[in-house]
This record gives sequence, structure tokens and C-alpha cells, in this order.
Amino acid sequence: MSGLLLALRRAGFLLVSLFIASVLVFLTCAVLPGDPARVALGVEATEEAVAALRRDLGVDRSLVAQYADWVGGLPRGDFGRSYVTQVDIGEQIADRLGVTLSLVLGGMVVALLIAVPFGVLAAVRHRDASGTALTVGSQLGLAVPSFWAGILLAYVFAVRLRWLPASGYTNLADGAVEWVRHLLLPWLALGLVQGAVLMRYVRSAVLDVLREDFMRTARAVGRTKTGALWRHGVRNAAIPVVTVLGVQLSTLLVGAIIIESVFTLPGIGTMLLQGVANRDLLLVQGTIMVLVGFVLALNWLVEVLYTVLDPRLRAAT
Amino acid sequence: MTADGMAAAQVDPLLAGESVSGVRGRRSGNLAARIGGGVAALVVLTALVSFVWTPYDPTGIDPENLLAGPVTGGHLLGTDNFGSDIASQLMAGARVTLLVGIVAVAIAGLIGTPLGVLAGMRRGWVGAVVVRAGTILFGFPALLLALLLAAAFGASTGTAMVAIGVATIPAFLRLSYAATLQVMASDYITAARTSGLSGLQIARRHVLPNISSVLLVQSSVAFALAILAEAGLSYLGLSTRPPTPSWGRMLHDAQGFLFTDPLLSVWPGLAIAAAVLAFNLLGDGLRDLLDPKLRDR
Amino acid sequence: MRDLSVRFGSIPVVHDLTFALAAGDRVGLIGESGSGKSVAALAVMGLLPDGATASGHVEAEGTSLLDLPEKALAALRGERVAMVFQEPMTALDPVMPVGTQVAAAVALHQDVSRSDARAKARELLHQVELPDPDRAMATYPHQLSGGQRQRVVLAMALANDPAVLICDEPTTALDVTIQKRMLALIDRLVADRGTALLFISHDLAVVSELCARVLVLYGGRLVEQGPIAQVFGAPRHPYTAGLLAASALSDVAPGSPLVTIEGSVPGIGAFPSGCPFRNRCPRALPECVEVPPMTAEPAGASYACFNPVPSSAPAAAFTRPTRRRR
Repeated sequence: MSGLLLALRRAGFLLVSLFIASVLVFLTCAVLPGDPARVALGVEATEEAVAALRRDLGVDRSLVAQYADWVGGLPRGDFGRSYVTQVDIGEQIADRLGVTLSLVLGGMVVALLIAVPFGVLAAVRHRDASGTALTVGSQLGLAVPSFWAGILLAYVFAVRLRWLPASGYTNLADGAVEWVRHLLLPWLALGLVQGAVLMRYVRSAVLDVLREDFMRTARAVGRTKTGALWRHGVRNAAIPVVTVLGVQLSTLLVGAIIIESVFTLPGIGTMLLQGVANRDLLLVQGTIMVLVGFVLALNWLVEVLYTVLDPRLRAAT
Repeated sequence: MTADGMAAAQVDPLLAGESVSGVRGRRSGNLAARIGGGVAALVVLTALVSFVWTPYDPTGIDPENLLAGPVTGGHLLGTDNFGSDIASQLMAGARVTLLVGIVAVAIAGLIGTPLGVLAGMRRGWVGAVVVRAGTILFGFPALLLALLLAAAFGASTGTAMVAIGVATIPAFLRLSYAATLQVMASDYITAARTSGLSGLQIARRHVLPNISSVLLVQSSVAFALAILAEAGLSYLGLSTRPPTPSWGRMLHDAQGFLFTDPLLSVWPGLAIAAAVLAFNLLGDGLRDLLDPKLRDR
Repeated sequence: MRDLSVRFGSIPVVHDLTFALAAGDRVGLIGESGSGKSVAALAVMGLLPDGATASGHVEAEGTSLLDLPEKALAALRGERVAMVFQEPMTALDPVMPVGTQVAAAVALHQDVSRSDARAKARELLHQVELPDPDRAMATYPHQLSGGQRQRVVLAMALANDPAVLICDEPTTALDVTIQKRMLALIDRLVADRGTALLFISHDLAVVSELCARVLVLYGGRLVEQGPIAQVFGAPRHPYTAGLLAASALSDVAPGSPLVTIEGSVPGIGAFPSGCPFRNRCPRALPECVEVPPMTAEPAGASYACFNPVPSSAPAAAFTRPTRRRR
């Protein structure tokens, strides 16, 4: 199958997955008990008022109609208006998306900065005490809940040393230094734990590659051990690591939501939690759709990347 | 193996056969299993003991000693802002931790495994559909499910258990699918087929026993992840409600007193980390001990 | 090399191996699995696996190899000494096109531009008889058959005109039909360049076609060596005699049992002390518990045995052993 056809097929799968996910999200929210009109008007409201509001909001129509309406608006960025706060949901999401994305991407960078060097080192030195020490360290690192790490980091750097703020956020546009200062502790909290997890995979991948025959051929032709590692090992070891990266990004997203709470960052996570507390179903619905969509898209991207890296898969259908 | 199968094996280093302790195999596997098993047993023991005895009533109040430090006023680890004994809360908190872990892993295993085995045994479109469904479900992390459930029914231990359990199904699904594929490729399966055994019989007699060791390892690791997930949900207030003690919620409450009583934040976090580490080590150790037959290294 | 010994941890695998290779020499290294032949070759290249140690003395054109640091050793590998391995299916990097790998082999030791290296790579691929070398440059290893991959490895090995080419059972993993062509190819390429060849195999017929001298290895020790005609025509060591008898299928009358060497090859580290063959040897003597010294023979041959096979058959009566039908 040619590359283009394969790409189209993959894109098709993504769209189907997104569609199915949207149905699932919508249905789950639809069957949840709670009449939005009643929630908005309160317990004291009269039946007529409730019925009128239901007509206004459009929740008295069939499920299919409601779904079609909602899904139709999604590609345009129209998520509807919150029943509870009357704010345009799409706008809210857009506002806060930047925060969460900064958090997630920064966290991933930190995680990679830890995982790759230490993982390679642990693999190359796996027979030494230093290699074992690194492995033990990674086990400790991944057992730690990221929010605990965040609290401890906040204590050391914000409460005791007072170098960094423990909460709040500044937009990148309003000042890069302040932006970094507010995000540094969250990045570390997310990245350290994720880094430990990733390190195990990197180490495993590098160990596997080191045992391969083609490494020996490379050395027989005249490369040094390190030369062979760089030239041949990296690309081959990257393949299994990239696969894991996709799953890890989803985990990172979830972790980011929790970390937002720890450091009171105005991101999607805190908005979501508030929505749940307020029983703001439409908001919750839209936000979860965005998050699920992201995760699915990321996984799709990883699959594509995987094919790019490993030529053996290009021929496979 | 198809690209999907290869991807499945890649995602699961369990199947690809590499472990953390790696080269030294049996010896270090033994060590890891022992340490992990030991600490895990300790956690279980603590939870069980807490039903019968705790130093103080975990939900009780001691107005004399608010926010006391360790070994103060007869409280080994101090008290929180209500005067409740920290040590007792930790012990009782173990109950929730273990309960959620057990139920979540049970849900995931009992639903994911049969589906995975089915998909692995029946090739063709059934297999493809199940794997695709698993991939989509993978996009729903436990947190999001828990949020939905909490929005509907109000947060509770129950919603947390179900959310984590459902979110772990894809992991068991993928694992049992890939493992079943490996088993199905063996010669004795062909022999069994030729001798006329039905699919169900083959599954029961040949597939399940052979994938059981991988499943056991996965269960231990999934348990560790469930503990972590529950802690996170508790922290956000999406799991066990007060006054039932829970480690995650203890951590949330402690954060408010970071300036005045930082130690409060240490104990529950330590408990969570210890429990997660224990089950992870147990899983790793089991893998080293059980797997050499499955691996060809 | 002189007195080369290799140990895997505490288990000795090669004992006191001594032989010399001159320019243009064609030497075969015969032995069954477990004889230590591959290990000896890896020791020369400095490619022993972790945990294996080599002691003794290995020299290439005056440079001592065993204690060289990695960088210096790497400079020699591929340039002065090259090696082709047994398993072609896993020998090449799966994510890199074949042409790039060969060009890299060139670029490592020669100071040429990238395009020149690629041109040379293409030329090499042509020399190893790969069909359509231009297209081959861009193919990936998984698109090639085992025989084709082995040719690529050969091209990489000969890229820098090494003084010595070591082939470790290069055709064992290939189909019989391909084997013959590959051997002819190696024969031609080595002859054209005047490279010394160390051909490791367990197949006596192949070695006798390709090589002028032969070394017989058993249990990590050299048991006999010398010109092919002499060693194969009039073997002195019981093991060599046994090997030859077992391969000479055409000499066996139909219906009669095949000739075999009694017993089976022991595992690593399980060889008896002294002469490693003594527990299977029909001519064993009490003194064989000591390691027999090498006894010299005319024409530069030698053997290590206290009770050698009598040299009854003159060299002229030597007949080549037939190829085993697989």
C-alpha cells in the first residue's frame, strides 16, 4: 500500500474513533441524572418555568437531535453555552487550553531530559553498581505520586526558600520569566515522576538494541562501541520508546489536571473540576470531549511516527 | 505478527520480555519479589489489623492536641487539625487503598481477559474490532471516567473503583490478546485442534494456564497503578468521602497546612509511595521468576 | 596469534592457540560447534562479548591487538582485518538503507566525500554480484533475501581492502544452491585483492575447495594443522581422521552403517583435562591426561597427539571428501 493511502486510512481511523468517542461522551452525559433546567433554576422553580427553560435550551428534543446539534458545532469550536454560568464554553476552553498545554509539554520535556540520558547510562552500565543504582532510583521515582512530589517541591522551594511561587500563573505574552517561574515547580513535579517511568523503557530499549547482531557488524566494520550506539542504536531504540510515548502523553495529561489543582493553575483541569462540582453537564461534556480527542489524536500521531521510524512497517497494511 | 500485534508487544515490555532487574534474572527477581511482597503484606496486615485495633479512633477528635507534631501527647505521628491521630488514619486508610485496588483489578481482569482471549483465538474481524475498541477506550483515562461518574452520582469509593477498573480494561485486553496470539502459534494448539477440542476447552485447558503467569504479573503492576490512581482521585475529592480516612484526601487536607505543619504532608505521601513501590517490586520480581520460560533470551 | 586463550568468566573456551597468517594465505579453521573457532576469531577482532577475557598475544602487521584501546582497535577493524558473520538475516541495521551502510563502511576509514563514498558503495555492491546495484543502494535489509544480505555484509567487509578477511561460517545459514555461488564469489574477490582468508567452517568439503592450509580445532585446542592435501590425505590426529571418515560418504558401501565418532561433543567447560579428545578417542593412552605437545611433520604440518594415526597413505592418494547432501 502506498504511503498516501496508508496515511488516509490512518486518518480515517482517527475520525471514526473521534466519532465513536463523541457518541460515548454524549450518551454518558445524557443519561446522567440531573435536569439542566432544574439545576439552573433551583429547587423552588415552577413546572412551567422549568419546561420553558427546557424548550429554550433545547433539551426537550430527542437525544439524536441534541447530539447532532452538539456534534455539529464541535468542528467550529462551538461547544454551546453553559447552563449554569451562561459563559460560552468554547471560549472558556480556548482560554485555558494554553495553560494546560504549556504544563503538559514542559512536563514531557523534563521527563525526556531525565529519561534519555539516565536510561542510556543505566543500559550501558547495567552490569555496574552505578547501573543498578539508577534502576533502583527509577523504581523509587515512579512510585511517588506526582501531586505529592508537587507538594514537597512547593514546600522546599516556595515555603522555605521562597525562590518560586506556589500558585498562580502568568501568560507567556505577559512575561516569559514570570511564566517560567510559575510553571517550573509544576513541570518538575510532573516531569520527575514521568521521567522515572520513561527511563525504564529507554533502558529496556537500549539494552535490547545492544544485543542485536547489527551492532556487532557495525563494530566489525570499524565503529567504536559508542559510535555504533549513536549511529545505529539510537534510531532502533527510539522505536519502542516512541510507542510508549503516546501512552505516556495521556498519563501526562491526567497528571497535569491534578497538578493544576496542586498549584492552582487556571487550566482545563481546574475548570473541569469546577464543572463537576457545579453539575455543569454541558461544560463537562465539552471539556471531556476535547481531552479525549487530544488523547486519541496523540495516539494517532504516535502511530504515524512509528511508521516513519521503522521502514519495516511501511510495507505492512 | 501484524503491525498491531507488534505494537501491542512493544507497548507491553512485559511481553517483550525485559524487566528492570534485567540481566541478573532469578537472583534479583527473588529479591524484588521478597521486598515487594513483604511490604505489600505489611500493608495488607495493617489494613486488617485496623479493623480490630488502632491506637486511636481514626475519626475521633482530640481537642487538646491540634496539629501536634510526632510523639507528642501520646500520638506517634502527631495529629491533624481536628486532633485526629495520624497513625490511626494511616492504618484505616490502608483499607480503602486495598479495597479499591482489588475491585478495580478484578473488574479489569474479569472483563478484559476473556475479551482479549476471545479476540486472540478468533482471528478475523472479531479480533480487529476488539483491539480497536480497546484502543478507543484507552483514550478514556480513569480520571475522566471518575469525573463523569462523580458528576452523575456524586463522588464515592464506588465511583472511583468502577472508573479505575474500567480504565484498566484496555491494559488487560491488550495483554491477554497478545499473549493468546503467542500461545495460539504454538504447535500443541494445533495438536489440540486436530484432536477435536472445542474453542472453549482449548481456552480453558491450554491458553489460560499459559498466560496466567503474565496475567499475574500484570495484576500486581495494575494494582500499583490503581493505588496511585485512587490516591489522585481522593486528592481531588473524587473518591472516598469524609469521614472515612483515605490517604489521598489526607494529603489534600495537609496541603493547607504546609506553612504550619509540613510533616502532615509527608506521612500519607510516604504511605502511598511505599504501597505502590511494594506492588511494583512484587510484579517485577514475579516477572523475573515466572517468565524465563516465555522469554527466549 | 600466539598462545591465545579466551575465558568466559571462569570457563576456558580457547587454550593456547597459535598460528600465523601471511598475505594471500588461504587458511581454513575446522571444528564442530563448541570447538571455540568463532570465539578465537572474535578475539582477534576485539569483539568478544562482555564477560569474556582474552590473554596471550595477537599481532597484526606488527601491532599487538589484545591490549589496544577501543578507538585504535576500531580503526583497525574493517581496514586491516574484516569479518563476515554467520547469520545474515540480523546482521544489518533494519532502519538504514543498504547503500548508506556500505558507504558508511567506506567513509569510516577513507577520507572521501559523501558522494564518492556512495559511488564506491555502488561499485562494491556491483562487485558482490547484487542485481541492479543502483536500486539496491536504496533498499532496506528486510527487502533482501538472506543471500543478498550476506553479499552486502561481504561488500562492507571488503570496502577498505583489508589485509585479512575472516569468514565465520558465512554460508551455513543459506540455501545449498546459494552456497555454491557465494563461495565462488568469496573465492574470486579474495583472489583479486590478494587478501588473506581465514575461513571458519565445520564443512570439510567447503574448506578443501577454498583453502590451501587447514587448522583443526577441538575443545578449544589446536589438534592438527598443515597443508590441506597432507592433513586430509594423511591425517595424524584421531579426531581429524574421524572427521574425514565421517564425511567420506561415497566410501561407505550401501547398507552398511555410517562412520561416526563415538560420543558427542561436550558442552562448554565440560571437556576433559589434558587432551580434550581423550574421552572419545579410540586410541587414547594413559598419558593423554597431559596436554600433548605439537609434533612437527614435514611440509610445515603438525599435530598434537601421543598416539597418532600411522602415516600410511602417501599424499598422492588423497581424494577430496564428497559434499554432504543436505
